[in-house]
Amino acid sequence: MTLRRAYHSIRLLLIRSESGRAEYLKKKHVLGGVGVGCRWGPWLVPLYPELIILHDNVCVHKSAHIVVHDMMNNFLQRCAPKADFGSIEVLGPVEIHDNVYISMNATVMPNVEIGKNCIISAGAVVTGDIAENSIVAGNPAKVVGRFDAYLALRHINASKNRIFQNQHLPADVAEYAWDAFRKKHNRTNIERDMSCNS
Amino acid sequence: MQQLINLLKSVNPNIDYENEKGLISDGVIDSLSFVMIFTAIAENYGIEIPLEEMKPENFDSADAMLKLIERMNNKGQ
Repeated sequence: MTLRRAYHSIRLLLIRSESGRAEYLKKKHVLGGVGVGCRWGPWLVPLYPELIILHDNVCVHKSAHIVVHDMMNNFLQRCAPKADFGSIEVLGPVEIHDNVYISMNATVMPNVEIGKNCIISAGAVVTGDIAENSIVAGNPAKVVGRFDAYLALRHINASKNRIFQNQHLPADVAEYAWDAFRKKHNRTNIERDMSCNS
Repeated sequence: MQQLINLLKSVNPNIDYENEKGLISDGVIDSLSFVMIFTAIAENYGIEIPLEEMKPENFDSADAMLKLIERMNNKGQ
């Protein structure tokens, strides 16, 4: 790891909020570009961060990965010592347009452009370009839905949710969530604290 | 209207779209069906539904959906 990358990674570790980390990356010109209102979860700065461009309101979960190079030539060279693969490393920038959410454990591979208004579902491995207004899932990632339809669904269901401060869950809101769970699963009773029974 | 009913029935044929008035409010259609209906309407009628129109009363019945589609079509002209 280069000293610069290690330094920025330590600085990121010390910033609590994801929006604060994105602002840091923008201010220090660590990435190729960072737009307005982005959120950056990972503590580790990816290799060759200058090959990553985030447009406005891009959210990257802390366990997501954006990969902009591969070392396969290095491996293949050792498989076939007489072959000539040129560089041991191949680069491929990643550009992510406005309003994109990269969920937990998702991986974006090199040379990928993600259009605006997209959700990359948990665990997805994005190997090719993603058209705008898409929800993708799986490995390799495939389109499984439309962003606008999902937005509409969440919007019309707004009244079913209870508002609370992020990361501070009041008991009544937790109970409301369990009630909804019981109703959905047709259960009348769920033991809340199993350890009390033993 | 019949065209819309046929479209809705292609998503879920077991719902009485002609008479049902609480598709969303009464939980008659589930999340997945709603997403499919929204997508089918947007693609078949070539309309974009703005945020302020994404509310339960616009999707609670086939009649309400038809009115929404007509409003969006008139806006686009």
